[in-house]
Amino acid sequence: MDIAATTEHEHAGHRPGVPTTVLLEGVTRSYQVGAATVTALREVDLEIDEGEFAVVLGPSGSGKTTLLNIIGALDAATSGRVTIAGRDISGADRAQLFRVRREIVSFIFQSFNLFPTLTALENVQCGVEITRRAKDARARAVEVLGQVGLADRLHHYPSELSGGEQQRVAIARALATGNPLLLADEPTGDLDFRTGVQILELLRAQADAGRTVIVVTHNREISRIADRVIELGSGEVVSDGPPAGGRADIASLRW
Amino acid sequence: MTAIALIIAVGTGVYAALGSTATWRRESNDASFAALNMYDLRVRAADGVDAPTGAMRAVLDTLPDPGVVTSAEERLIVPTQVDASTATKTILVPGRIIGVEVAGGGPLIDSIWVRSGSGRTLGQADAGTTNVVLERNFAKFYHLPATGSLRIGAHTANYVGTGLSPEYFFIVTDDGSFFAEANFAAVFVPLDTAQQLAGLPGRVNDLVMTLRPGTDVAAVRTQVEQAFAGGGLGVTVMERRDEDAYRLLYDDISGDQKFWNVFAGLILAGAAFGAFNLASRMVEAQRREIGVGMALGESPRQLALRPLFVGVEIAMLGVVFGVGMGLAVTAAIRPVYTGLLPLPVWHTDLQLAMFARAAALGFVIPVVATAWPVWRAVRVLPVEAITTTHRSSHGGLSRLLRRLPWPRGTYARMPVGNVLRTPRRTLLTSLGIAAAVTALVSILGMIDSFVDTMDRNDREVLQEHPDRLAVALQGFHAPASPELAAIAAQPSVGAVEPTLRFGGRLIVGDQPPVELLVDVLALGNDVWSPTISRGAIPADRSGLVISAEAASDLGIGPGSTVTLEHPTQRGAGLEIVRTTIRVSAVHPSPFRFAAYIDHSQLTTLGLPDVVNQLSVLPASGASPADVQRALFGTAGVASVQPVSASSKVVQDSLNDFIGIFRVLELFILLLALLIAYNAASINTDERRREHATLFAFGLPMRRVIRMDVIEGMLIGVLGTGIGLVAGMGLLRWLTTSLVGSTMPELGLDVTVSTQTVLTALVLGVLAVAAAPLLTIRRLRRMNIPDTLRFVE
Repeated sequence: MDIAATTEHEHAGHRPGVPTTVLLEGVTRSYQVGAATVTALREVDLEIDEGEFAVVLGPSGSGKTTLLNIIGALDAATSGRVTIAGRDISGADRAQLFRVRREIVSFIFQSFNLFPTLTALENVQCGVEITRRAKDARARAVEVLGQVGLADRLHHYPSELSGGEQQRVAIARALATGNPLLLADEPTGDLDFRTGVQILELLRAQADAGRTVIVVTHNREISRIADRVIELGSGEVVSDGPPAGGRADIASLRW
Repeated sequence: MTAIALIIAVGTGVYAALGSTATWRRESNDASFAALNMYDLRVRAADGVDAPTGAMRAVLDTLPDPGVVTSAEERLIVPTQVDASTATKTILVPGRIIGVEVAGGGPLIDSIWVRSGSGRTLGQADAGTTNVVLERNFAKFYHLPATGSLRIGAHTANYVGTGLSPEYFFIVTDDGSFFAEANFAAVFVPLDTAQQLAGLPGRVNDLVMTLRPGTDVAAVRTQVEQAFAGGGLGVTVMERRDEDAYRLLYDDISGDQKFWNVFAGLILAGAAFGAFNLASRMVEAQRREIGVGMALGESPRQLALRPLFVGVEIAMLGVVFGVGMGLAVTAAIRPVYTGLLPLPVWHTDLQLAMFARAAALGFVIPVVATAWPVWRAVRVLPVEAITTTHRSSHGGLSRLLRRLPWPRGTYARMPVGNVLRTPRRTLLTSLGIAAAVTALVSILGMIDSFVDTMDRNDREVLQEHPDRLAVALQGFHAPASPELAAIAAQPSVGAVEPTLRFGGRLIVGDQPPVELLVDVLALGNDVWSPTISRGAIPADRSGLVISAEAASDLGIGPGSTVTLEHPTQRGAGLEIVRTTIRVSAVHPSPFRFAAYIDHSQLTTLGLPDVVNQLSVLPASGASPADVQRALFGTAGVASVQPVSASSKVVQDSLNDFIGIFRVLELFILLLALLIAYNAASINTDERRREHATLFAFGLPMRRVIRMDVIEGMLIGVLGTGIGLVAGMGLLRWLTTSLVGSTMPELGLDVTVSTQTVLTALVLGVLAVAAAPLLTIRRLRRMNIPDTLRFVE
């Protein structure tokens, strides 16, 4: 894996002076299904800047999850070049991909994927311990849980929390790692509208604080609060730019 | 499914094989005694009494129905000493000449079986020659070749083979020592040759006969006794059961079978726990389908059918595998048994009845193991079954962790939480492991206990003179007799301590008397004297020194007053009297019968000052073999044996027996590994999302595996802990109840060695902890994104 300095790239919506976090150049991902070859992503070129809140939209099978997996170093491109936070992970081995996930990427999942035998505090603490970034993982977890409004739910187990609270724990776990790239796969998919909005506020705040946030969703309404909306169709980027009508206020969202 | 079937198969296979041993042994005994045509009745003349050839057989003609005797052969049986020394080993043992009729082609009653490659038996052509057959157990013990030469008393003979004969299938000497093949050589000799060797030409002292099938043996015995009464031979008439070798080979079977049943039951229990655990997890994995079916209005009965069919499939597979496993266990045990008890015929066929019972168990266990969780699954509300949140994610007992400040790190807390999260499952897995460890600890602990007890005996017998020899004298001798003087005068003989040994009984109140073998010797002498573990020898040297086992069985100790039943001299003869005597001390020998009285107390017991045993130390520069050679054939000497020899025989027999335990150990290990691996495998399936999440956050595989290993280790520690405690409890029960009733003469120390504990830990903890390593491949091939997106 080439580790290059984080560089600035010119692209649509690029803010001068802001480094690029995600750089995909001609990325193709195809799978062998029996005798057939299925191409999930086709020659995708994409750059996402630091501090950008990007929403990836598209129908089922459009390739958005594959895109997220490749950006998150969970999957490898069949061809093309993938650079995450300045690290070229094209052709990286298993250990290198693990390191990228540990040091750069943090995930938020639709179904939370909290550890059922750990309390909210311990779930977040676990995320910190994996990155080994904070000396006192527990203190860091308490701090971040406070930031997401769960200071009074530290010692509750996931089964004792509501869906929204569980997702906030999952976000806290991702935030506590301190990793610069936040990837969220349908983060509001399992939540009611009010709770979903709370989650989006949290994610938006992360981007405003300088983290890169990429959200994959079916929910077009969410794209209204994004800095950038990337729409996929049949494995190709069919549109890429700011939301139509400009970035909306979260309070205006309805679904 | 296959895994559950395999676990059941190990349980039922071991059960079927171990349950078959009683039948094997009984059938093999029957076939062996029949093959060599063991006598139905035997007539033994009193010691030192004999009759002209033909005279004993002629008595049978006076029976009310002489035709009831289908065949009869006369024999001459006399004690002797045998020198079977080889170039590298001195083998001088007491023995027995068995003069047998060879005119008809060898003895036809109690015939001699010589296995292929072990020479030949006697035939007509051997009449009058010094060709003999050496008893096989003795030859095998000393690894003697199939043919060779030996000395019988002062004569040289050629042994043309090594063979088995019914009265010597199991070697028991006249003084009742078992496994006595190291110290006893039976030599089968043509009758006329035996008469010459014994200096009794034309004389016989033993008659064996077979009776018409269906004859009332007891009734004919009475007729034979009456026929011989008054004939001056002082005969003893014996049935087969009066023969030690015959009786012990049969009596031993039921005791051994009880022993095996305990272990077979334990291993089966371990398999059942494992099957219940895995089957319930298998059904739990289908709970959503069951819930959907319930939501669609399917009846619980319909819903239950499919998993129950799977249970039946597992059961059928378990039965098939169980038969295969049973055959494998049988094949592994068979050579150990045939080596331990070298019968000429061994029947170790598949015991269909036992296998049918095992197959029935193998069928019922998985069906019940499946039916129980199915019953639980169809009783819940559909909404509960359909829920995407897994039952186990509710935490089980993992909330207990909230109150525990330690461990603080999440990597350590997660395995602990997982163990607590599904307590029933953890307990079932642990109990499966525990059952295996219990079986292992009790089996190995039994070996430890025997070994430790024998070591204690060795320490007591050998003390600081491991080269001491025990000399048995022919009859009683005065301490100043010329025979004893001649023995002491041998250059190779050093210190000599004379001993008078007699049988007696210890009586305390209404309790059953304890048989004793009392040695009268100078307590505290320089050659050998019992160690005193409790009490003390008083200044006047009075009192009886008894074994700890006798003291424990009778609830007595130093200072107790007891009644000793013993022979005493009355005129020219002896009679049995009772003397009240004080127990002065207790010695540590494990043998209950061993008791000692100081030589000064002879007059108190009314016994003459005679000796029949000697403890001998080799002279400086001489070896025990030198003493044996010097005393071989010396007047008055019946046998000369190093005291270490008898314990070696017991050790060797124990080693043979341990072979069966080693076979069981392998299958126990297999069972534990199967339970552990399957539990780990199912864990991997159930935790795949947690694993995928950890991988997504960049936690390396080794860390995830380490957590699984810790989890396995915790379950292993729990199972091993339960198993160790249960194993020690079972061992105590086995030694006090089972061994205590079958071998009351032996005070077995209940011992579990460090090695046994380590073996249990390796099996129970390391094997279970290592099981997750077998899932690495599956983890490496995990599709992380798919797993993370998967919604149950």
